[in-house]
Amino acid sequence: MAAENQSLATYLPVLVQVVLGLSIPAAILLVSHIFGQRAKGNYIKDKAYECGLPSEGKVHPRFAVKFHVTAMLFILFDIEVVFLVPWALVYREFLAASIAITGATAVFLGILVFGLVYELRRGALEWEK
Amino acid sequence: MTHALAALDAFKSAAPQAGDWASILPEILVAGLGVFALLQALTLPASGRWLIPAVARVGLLLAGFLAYQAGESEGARFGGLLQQDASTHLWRQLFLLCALLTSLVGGRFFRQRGADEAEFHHILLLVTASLMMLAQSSHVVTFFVALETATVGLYVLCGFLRRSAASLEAGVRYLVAGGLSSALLLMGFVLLHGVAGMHLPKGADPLQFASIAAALLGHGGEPLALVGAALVLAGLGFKLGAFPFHGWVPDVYQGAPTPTTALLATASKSAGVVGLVLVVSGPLAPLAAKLSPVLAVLAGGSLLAGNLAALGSSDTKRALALSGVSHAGFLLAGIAGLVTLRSQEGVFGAADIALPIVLAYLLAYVLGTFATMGALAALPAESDERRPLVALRGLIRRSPSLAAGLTLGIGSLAGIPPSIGFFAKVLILWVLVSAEAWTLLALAVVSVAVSIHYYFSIIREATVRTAPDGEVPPRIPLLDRALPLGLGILTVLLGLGSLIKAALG
Amino acid sequence: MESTTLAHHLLLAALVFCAGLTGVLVRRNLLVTYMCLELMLAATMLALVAFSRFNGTMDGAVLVFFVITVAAAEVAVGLALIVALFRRTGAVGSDRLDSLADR
Repeated sequence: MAAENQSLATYLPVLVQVVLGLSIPAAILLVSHIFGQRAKGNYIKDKAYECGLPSEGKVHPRFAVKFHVTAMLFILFDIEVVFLVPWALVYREFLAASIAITGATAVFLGILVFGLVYELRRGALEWEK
Repeated sequence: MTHALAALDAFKSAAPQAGDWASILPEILVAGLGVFALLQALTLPASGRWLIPAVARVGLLLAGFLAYQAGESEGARFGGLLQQDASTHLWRQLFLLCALLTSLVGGRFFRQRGADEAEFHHILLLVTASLMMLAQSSHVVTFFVALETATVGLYVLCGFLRRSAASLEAGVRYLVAGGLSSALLLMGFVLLHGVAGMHLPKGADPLQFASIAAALLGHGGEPLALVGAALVLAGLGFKLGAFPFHGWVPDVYQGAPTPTTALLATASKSAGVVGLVLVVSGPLAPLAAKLSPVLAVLAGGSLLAGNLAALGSSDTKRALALSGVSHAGFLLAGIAGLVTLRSQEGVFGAADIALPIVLAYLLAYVLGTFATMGALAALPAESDERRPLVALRGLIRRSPSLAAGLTLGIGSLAGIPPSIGFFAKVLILWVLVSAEAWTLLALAVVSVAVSIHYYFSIIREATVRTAPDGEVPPRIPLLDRALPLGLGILTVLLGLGSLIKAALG
Repeated sequence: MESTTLAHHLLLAALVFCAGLTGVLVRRNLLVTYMCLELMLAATMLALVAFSRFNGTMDGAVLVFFVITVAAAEVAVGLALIVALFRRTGAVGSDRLDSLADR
């Protein structure tokens, strides 16, 4: 049990950080609420300040949807790292023990590269047409 | 360090042997062809694009031949990731048949609607290869990855007509249903694997189907194991489109492009069946006594829900989708019978025949569905997702061959003698009799009687009712007319063949 | 001091899983529905890692890799479908999708 207590003790700074992070903003808000003056809000005052001009547009603008293809392809090519990193970690030992694991990875990478070539040739990465 | 060396030894013993790769040659061929389809799309000139479907179809036939050649070869492959037996090769051929027919139905269909034929074949071939892997998986990883690869491919095929809101909506609906089903299935497997990991000795792989079964043999009553089993059944029930998880079926089948609908109805349903068979005869085998009543409820519910809902449907694709739910009920009834027979042993090998019977039922269902869907896909329609029954009116005048193919296909689906569908239904009823599942038997008989009504209303629209005069007969290419007719005739020939065989033997 | 047990992890996983399931069943916005689906997969991964840790096997952790990959593929295809549908119909609410019905 002592060892577990010790391992939990190493998380103490995290706990302190969390408590500080929560209590300081709360204290500031509380103090200003108690001592501050009540603001008289109206429609114009509550609006976002845009150099004194009437504000334009929505608070949450929409991003152009044309980037979603790039984003999706990024996810797909990003995820293959999940398989390559474990492979890269062990392949020396495996080859030393003469277990063939390069062929499968080569095929895997070959398919990925072919996918990349296909999407380039089909123009999936050109968003300005 | 010794630990790492021990792990290396384990890898060495599990490393693939030369025979392992040879044993999945059909899958490698089909998946390779899938990639090759895209390569052709990049390199071929526009005049040579007819090669893409041709190469795919020849490759599918070749893979079917290889699977046929594999015959009875059995054994564990890839250190227990895969397990092949005699039925594996039959499942492979069934999936290859579905793919070939989908390619034949879908080729011109998608070309006409401006969709990319190369990408269609690419995804179709990858889906087929992963379904073939599914049929031989004996490990949670291979099972899950194979099933998901196929399902993600099917999402794409559902939404393949990007200009049609209905097709996209079908894709999104299938996505939500499919995502829900895979999450349920995965959680079920995770819980089962957890139970196995708790009770198995060190060194056993708790994701292996056999080890899960070994652990459940002693600890099958634990709540965690029961919840896991229920979640796995629910996930597969979604895939199968079985009651009470069939809510997505009519919408998705209606909105999906008709060739995809046919693929969903046949290959995807077969995937649900093969997955369920693998699960109930593998990891969940020790729970057979608890499983068979659950399966019976699912089967009876599907039979009733599918048929009653189909009665009120005025759209051909929706009616066929709901009839597909009742066919799932028949298949589930067969599996429930299989599980019951296995648990009570010694009924002169009836359990061994039950699986081939389920396969035979699927074959009949595949032929009937493709005859019907092929005829529908060949018919010109304003929009693919609106195919009301009345639009079939007078089909026999407009295109006698399509009307004949449609009628024979529907006849087989309904189980009219002497079609193969009739024998398939009789065989399933025989399984239920041997398993002494009298309630289910009664439900199955009643559902056949009910289904005759809506099947005949489709046939009546196509053959008896006449359309108003003055319609220009549409020009339909020979292949599109020959395929449904050929399949329809095949259902009758196979049925007559079984009749003669039964009479002689 | 009581340390966390397998039961705690499984309870958390079950809660997250049920939150996702409820979301899929009741939410009307497709994107939110979709996020809830991913939440369910995340819950399964949590359970897998917990089982791996407490049963002392690596298998569950390996399965997590495959689940991540499958989830990524599902997200890519799913978002493509949802965006295409949004462009076509301008709706992402599942109650506003009405191309498919029996009439």
